[in-house]
Amino acid sequence: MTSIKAVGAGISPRRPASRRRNAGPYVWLIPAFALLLFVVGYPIIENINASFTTAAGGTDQYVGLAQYKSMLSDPLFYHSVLLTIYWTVGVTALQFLLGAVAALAADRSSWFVRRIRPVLIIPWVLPGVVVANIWVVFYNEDGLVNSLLSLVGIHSDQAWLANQNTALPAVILAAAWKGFPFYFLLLLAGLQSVPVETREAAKIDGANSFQTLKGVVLPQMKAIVITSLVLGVIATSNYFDGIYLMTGGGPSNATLTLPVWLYNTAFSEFDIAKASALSVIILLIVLVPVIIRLIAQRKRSRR
Amino acid sequence: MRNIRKIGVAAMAAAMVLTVASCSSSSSGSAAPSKELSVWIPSDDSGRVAAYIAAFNTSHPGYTVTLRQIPFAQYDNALGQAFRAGQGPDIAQINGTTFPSFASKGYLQPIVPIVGDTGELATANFYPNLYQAAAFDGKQLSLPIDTGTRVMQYNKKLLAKAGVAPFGETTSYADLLSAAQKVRALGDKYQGFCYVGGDKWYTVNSNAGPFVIQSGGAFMNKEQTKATLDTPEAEAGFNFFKSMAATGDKSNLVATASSTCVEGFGAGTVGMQFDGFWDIPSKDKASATDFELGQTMPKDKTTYSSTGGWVLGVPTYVKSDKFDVLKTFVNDMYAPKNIVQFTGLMPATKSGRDAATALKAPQYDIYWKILNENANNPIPLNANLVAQANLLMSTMQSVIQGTQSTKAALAQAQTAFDATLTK
Amino acid sequence: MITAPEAPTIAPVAVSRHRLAGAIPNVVLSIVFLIVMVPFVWVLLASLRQTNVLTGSSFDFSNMSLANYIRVLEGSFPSNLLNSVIACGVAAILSVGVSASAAYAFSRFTFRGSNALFWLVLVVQVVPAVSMVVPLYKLWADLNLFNNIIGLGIAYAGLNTAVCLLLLKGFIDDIPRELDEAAAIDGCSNFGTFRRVVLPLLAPALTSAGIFVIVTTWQEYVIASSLMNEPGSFTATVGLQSLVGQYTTDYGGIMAGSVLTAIPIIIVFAIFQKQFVQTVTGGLKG
Repeated sequence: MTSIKAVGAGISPRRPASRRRNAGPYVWLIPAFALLLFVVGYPIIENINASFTTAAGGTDQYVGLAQYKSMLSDPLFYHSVLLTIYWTVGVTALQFLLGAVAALAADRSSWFVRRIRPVLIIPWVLPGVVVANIWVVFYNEDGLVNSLLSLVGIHSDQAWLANQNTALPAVILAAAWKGFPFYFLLLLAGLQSVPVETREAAKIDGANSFQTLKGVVLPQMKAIVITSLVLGVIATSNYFDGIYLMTGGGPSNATLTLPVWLYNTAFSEFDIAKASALSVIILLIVLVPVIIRLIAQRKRSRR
Repeated sequence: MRNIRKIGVAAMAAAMVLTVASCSSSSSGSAAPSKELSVWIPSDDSGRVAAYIAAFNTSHPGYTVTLRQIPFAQYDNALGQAFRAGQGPDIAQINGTTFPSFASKGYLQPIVPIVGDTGELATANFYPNLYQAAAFDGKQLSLPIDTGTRVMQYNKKLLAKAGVAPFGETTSYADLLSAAQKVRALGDKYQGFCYVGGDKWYTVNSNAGPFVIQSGGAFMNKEQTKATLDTPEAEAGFNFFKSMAATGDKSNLVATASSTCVEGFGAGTVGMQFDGFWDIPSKDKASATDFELGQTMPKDKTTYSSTGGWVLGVPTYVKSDKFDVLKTFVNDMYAPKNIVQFTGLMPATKSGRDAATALKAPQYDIYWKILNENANNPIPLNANLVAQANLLMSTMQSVIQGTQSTKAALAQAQTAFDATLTK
Repeated sequence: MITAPEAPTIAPVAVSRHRLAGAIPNVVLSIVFLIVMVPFVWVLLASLRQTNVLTGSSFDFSNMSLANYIRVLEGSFPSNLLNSVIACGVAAILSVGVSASAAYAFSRFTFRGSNALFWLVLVVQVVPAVSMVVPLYKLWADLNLFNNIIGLGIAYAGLNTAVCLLLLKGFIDDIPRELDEAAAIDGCSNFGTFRRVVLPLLAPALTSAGIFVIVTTWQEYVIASSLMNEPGSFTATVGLQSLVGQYTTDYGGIMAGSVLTAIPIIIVFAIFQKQFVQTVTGGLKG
C-alpha cells in the first residue's frame, strides 16, 4: 500500500533484432546493479545465509534446515499465515471495491469531478505512521468510530483495537481507507483508456449503462484489473507500518501477520536466525504472484 | 542529470571509498590499551548520567568516555542490532528482562574478570537476588545497576469518595477488588484499577505476574523444566487480575505505556495502579485536591518484587585493549554517590542504598522493605524469556476478554509454555 | 487538478438520459469524499485543541490554539522534517540517476543475460523492507553509514531503484527508435545519443519518477527507525512515532505532529499530481 511496485511493467514483447550490438551495455547497468546489490542483494543473501545458522554474535553455527523445521512445526506460523491471508484478502477486497466505485463515479468530466479527484488520492500519500496514529484514536472507547455509530443509533463502548475479534477488521478498515486510491487511480485510467467510440457504439446498439460497462468496458479492462490486483496483493501482504503501529500484532496475536511477526522475532526476541528463515519464507510466498504474472506475460507476448 | 555516467561513476567511487574506509577501521586491532570508551544508555532526560560522565572525564585526565543516549522505545532494538553486527558500545546499560536474550546468544562476556570484584564491586555489596539475576547459565555476564519493586498504589482521596477506608500495609484480594469496584461505580470517567495490557514486561512485572506469585503460584517450577500455569494458584491469580481489570477502561488492554494510568491516577480518576515509585504522579501532574498517595501489598502471606531494573554488560566483541578503561570506569561508576547519580531507581549495591538519601522519605519504606526481605523475579530468567512474556501477555489478554474460560486459556498456555522450556 | 491520465482529449461519456441516474455518481463521489475528509477535518481540529481536552468524540471548535504546534516545533521535529527532505532528495536523485542509465540499456541494447538481469530486477522489488532491516543495519554499521542521513538516502535509493528502472524503461520504450538511429547516423556515440536525444525527451519522466520516489520515501518508517536511532537524526515519521512514545496521552501534540508530517508530502503531491498520476498509471500499462 505504501508503494506501488511496478511488477512486470515494461517487459515488452521481444523486439526484432534491430537493436545495435554493443560491447559495453553492461557499463550502463553497473551503477544501478551496484546499488541494488549493495542495498537489496546483500541483505537477501545475508538472510538466506543466517537462516541456516544459529545467528548468534560472532559464533554462528551451521544448523542446516533446523530453523525452517522448527518454524513449520510452530502453530503460530500457521496462525500467522492464515491471518496474513485474511488481512490481504480483506484489505484488497475493500480497497478494490471502494476504488472501483469511486472510479466508476469519477469517470466523467465535470467541474465537480475535476475538483474532487485529487482530494481522493491524498490518503494514499500519507505516511502509515500518520494514518496509524489517527485511527488508533478513532477506535478508542470514546473515539470517532463509536460516536459515528451512536449517530445511527448504535451505542457502543467497544475499544475496537483491544478486542481480539474486532482488532483485525479494524486494522483492515484503516488500511482500506489509506490504500483505496491506488485502485481508484488505476481503474480510472483503465476506464478512460476505453475509447468513447466503443461505448457509444454499444449505446447506439441499445445497451444501457450497465450493459455497456459489463459487455464492452470491463473486458477491455481485464489486463489493468489483474495488474493492479497483483501489485496490490504483494504490497498489502508485505505491509508492516500500519499494523505494527496500531496493535503491535496483538491483542492475543490477533493481528500478527507475517511481517509483524518477523519484526517481533527480530527485535523483541532477538532471534535473528528465526527471523531470517521467516524472511526467506515470506520472500518465497510473495514471489508466487510475481512468477504467475511473469508467466502470464510471457504467454501473452508469445501469442 | 546531464551527465548520467558521471553520477554513476561518482556513486561507484563513493561506494568503494566507504568499503575501503570500513576495511581500514575494522582491521585496526592494535595492542596498545585504548583510553576511549563508548557507553550506551537509554535516553536520560534528567541529564544526571551525562553530568556524571562529564565529571568522570574531568577527574580522569587521559580517559575519554563518550555517552550515547537512545530513546527508550528503540533501545532494545538498537542494542540487539549493535550486538548482532559486532559494532557498538564498549559497555551498555541493558534492561534486566532483555538481558537473558542477549546473554543466551553469546553477545556478552563475563564482566568480573574485566572489572574485578573488590571494593564496591565485591559480591557481598550487591543484593544477592539482583546479582544472581545479572548472571546467566552460571556466568556473571553483567552487573546489576538498580532495581524497581512494585506495590499496589492507591489514591486515598478517591477511595474515600467511594466510601473505602485506607488500607494497611497489606490487604486482601477481596478488599482491593471491592474498593476498585466501588470506584468504578462512581461513574464512567472513573477507573477502579488501571493497568498496561499491551506490553509483555508489564504483564510479567505488574499484571498477571505479581498476582500469580501473590496467590502462591508461579509460571514454572524451580528447575525450569515444566510450566505451572495449570495450577489452581495460577488460575486464582489470573482470575483476580481479570476482575480488577474489569474495573478499568477497555483500552487498557492494549496500552503500551503507563503514562495514561499515571495521569489519571494523579488527576483523581484512577483508583489504583500496581506500579513502582517512579510512577507515583509527580507534583505537577497530581492535583493536590484530588490526590493523596496510599500504598499496600496485596495479600499478607508473601511480599514480592521484580528486578525491573537495569544491568551493565560488556559485549563479546570488546577486546582486551579496552579492559583497563573499562575497569577504571566501572569501579568509579559504582562508588556510592555515583551509582545513585547514575540511576533514578534503587541502587543494586548496599553502599548505594545507604547513599540514596533522596529515596529515604517514608513513602519509599515499603519498596525498601520488599527489596530487603524478598527481591525475587516473577519469572526466572532464561533464554526464552521474551517468548514466554509474549505468551503470558496474549494469555492474559484472552482471559480478560473472556473469549474462553480462564482455565481453558491457561491450559492452552501451559502447553505452549512447556514448548519454550524444551528448546 | 488531475487531468485524466493519458487521455486529456477524451470527451465525457454520453450524458445519461435519466437525470436521476446522472446524479448517482455525484452522490457516490460525495460519499467517498466524506469518507476521505472526515478523518482529515477531525485530525486538524484535534491538533488545534488544547492537550487533555480531547475526548475524541465530537467535532468541537472550542479551546482552539496553536499551542500543540508550538510545543512540537520547539522540539527536534523541525530537524526531523529537514532530515526527511534530505533523505528523500538523495534517494530521488540517486535512484533516478542510476536507473535512467540502466533503463536505457535494457530498452536499447541486446546483450547476453539481459533477460535474466531484468527478471532479477523484478524479483528484487517485491522483497519486503522489514526483512532487510537486520542485514542492512549490519552493513550500514560496517560502512559507518549508521545515523547518517545521506546513508539513509542511499538505502532508500537502493530500495527504489528497481521500481524506477521499470518505470523509466517503460518511458524509454515509448521513445521512437528512429530518433536514436538518426542520431547514430549523425555520428553520435551511444552515450551521445542518450544525452542528446533520449535524456531531453525523458526529462518529464525523470521528474515523475523522482516525485514517485519522494512520495514513497517520505512515508517510510521501519528502515529509518532502525538505521537512525538518535533523536537528532530521526526522520519525520520516526520523530512522530517517538512523540507517541513520549506523550502517550498528549493527543493534541501527536495530532499536530501528524499534520506536520503529512503537510509537506501533500504539498509535493498537489504541485506534481499530474506527473505522479502519470507515473502510477503509465508505468503499469504492461
